[in-house]
Amino acid sequence: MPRLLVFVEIREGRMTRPSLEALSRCREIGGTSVAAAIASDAPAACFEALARYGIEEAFVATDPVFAPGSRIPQGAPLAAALARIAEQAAPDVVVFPSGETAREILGALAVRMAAPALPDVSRFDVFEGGVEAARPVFAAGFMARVRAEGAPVLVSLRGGSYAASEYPAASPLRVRDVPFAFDEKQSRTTLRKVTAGASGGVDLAEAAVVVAAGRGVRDEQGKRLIEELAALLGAAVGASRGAIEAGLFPAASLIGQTGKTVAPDVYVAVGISGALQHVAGMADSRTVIAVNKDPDAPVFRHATYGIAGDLYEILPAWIKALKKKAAASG
Amino acid sequence: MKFIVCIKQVPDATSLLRVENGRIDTSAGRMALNAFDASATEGAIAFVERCGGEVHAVLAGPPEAEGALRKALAMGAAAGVRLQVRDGDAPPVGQACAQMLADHLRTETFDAILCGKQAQDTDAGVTPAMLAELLGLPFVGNAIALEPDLDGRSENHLLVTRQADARQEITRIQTPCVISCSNNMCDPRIPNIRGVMAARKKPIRTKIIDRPVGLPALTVERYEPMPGRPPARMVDEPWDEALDVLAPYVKIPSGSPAP
Repeated sequence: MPRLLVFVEIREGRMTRPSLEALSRCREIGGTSVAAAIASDAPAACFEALARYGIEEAFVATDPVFAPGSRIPQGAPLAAALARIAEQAAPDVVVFPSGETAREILGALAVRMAAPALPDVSRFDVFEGGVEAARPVFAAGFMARVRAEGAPVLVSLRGGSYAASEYPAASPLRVRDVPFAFDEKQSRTTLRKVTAGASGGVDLAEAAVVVAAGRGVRDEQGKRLIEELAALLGAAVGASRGAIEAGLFPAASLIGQTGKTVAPDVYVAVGISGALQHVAGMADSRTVIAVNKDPDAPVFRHATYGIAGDLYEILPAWIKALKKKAAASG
Repeated sequence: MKFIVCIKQVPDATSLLRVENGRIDTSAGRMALNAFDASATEGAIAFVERCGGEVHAVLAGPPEAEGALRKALAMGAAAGVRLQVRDGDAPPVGQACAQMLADHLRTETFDAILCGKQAQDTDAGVTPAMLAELLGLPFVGNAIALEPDLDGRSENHLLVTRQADARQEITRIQTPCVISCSNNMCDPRIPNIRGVMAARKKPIRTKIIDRPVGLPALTVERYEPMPGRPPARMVDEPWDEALDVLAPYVKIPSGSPAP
């Protein structure tokens, strides 16, 4: 059985949902031959959760450089820690949750470990000696079926590609401490300032529902409607490039080829025309509900349900109707 | 500051591409400068216009790819280099491409190497970090702003704003360094006639090199059209079908009065 190692990303002390999805997929493929790789200042906090996802072995690099308030950009220390972990764990495949963190370290590790890298796959399977995967390319215009051979093969997995599901662990977690120390004085990069990301508080990568605004949302009133609907649904707020250029939404909420890739249970696209670059970031969503004034908007080609109409009339009516439905169902 | 931007020529985003026998037929489409690399080029040019310095461009590709280099020169880059592999026109991809660029860049002097964060055809985005690793240089990925480090006493630092997954980071990075650029960094200028004329006289050097060998194996077995969704069901007021999808997620704070 090939050995799989999953890089578990920890944010604000919690494992990210795409990390759990990667763990679940690997557990499905590799059974108990799956180990977690953790780089943290306080790794013990996630041991219990790892066990819930059926993980029986964790390789852990502990260093204060990984503390949430660290002044060191995380790319270099993470790449260094993961290289040490991989040396000790000797995996056949290393899986990362896709995202900007993976983007920064995947290439570095591929060179350091002389390993092939398959970034941003939406499906993958492991065979003896390698990995077969599907990667959306050309702004998700085509699917590339790719194959890489080597030991290890590095893979980053797009969020939402597989469900995060718990497995009962058969035996308690074995923690392998990997000797690691990062010399901050040697770092050629330092963090000057950090500003918080998207509004609304719900992380796009974590959300079961995403409400996304496009150019049709043209003022503060429209923004408030988006935020009210999102709050009602416990949804994260996303935006297309048009809505961000209008200055209404922060750049961190950008969904698309150049921003985040999301695949929530429900994606509500409001006033979004459906440009290729945007669709690339949401095409894998399970159900898509699109609202647009223009009945010929391309977004309707990517939607499950289409509503042709004015969002300024529709959203207030929806908010009212949803509150009523919820109250009726108790 | 001297910048070298690494650029790629790709099928234009607006050209209609088709899959034929598992390959993407690009013959019908126009080729263009990768949009992310155009942002990197613009970022470097805007920087030197404000703070002084120069911008050079390097591209790995066949003679036809010189169009992308000319575009960078027309935008304001001073000179270009095209890397051509000895054994054919198809440029190497992935790690071999990074290796080829790194081998060339080791022979050059620079303060910063700028790349687009990914190519708009492969959407992979691993080359910039590979390049930094091969050259042993510090790296910041997905930059959205680039500033001189004004309060630094030395001139060998840059301030880079990076869009991370859940936050923005301003990083002080020591030069020489490698930075990958988001297209949220800037709107690339459209070269004017003067720029286009000037670009014709700017030097493009061709460097013939051996294809890097012995690097990790990775193959695209075939391309497929994306599985499409069935056409959307258009829903009218009272939108029940759509609202029934959303209703289970509604969070009403406990104790709040029914509407």
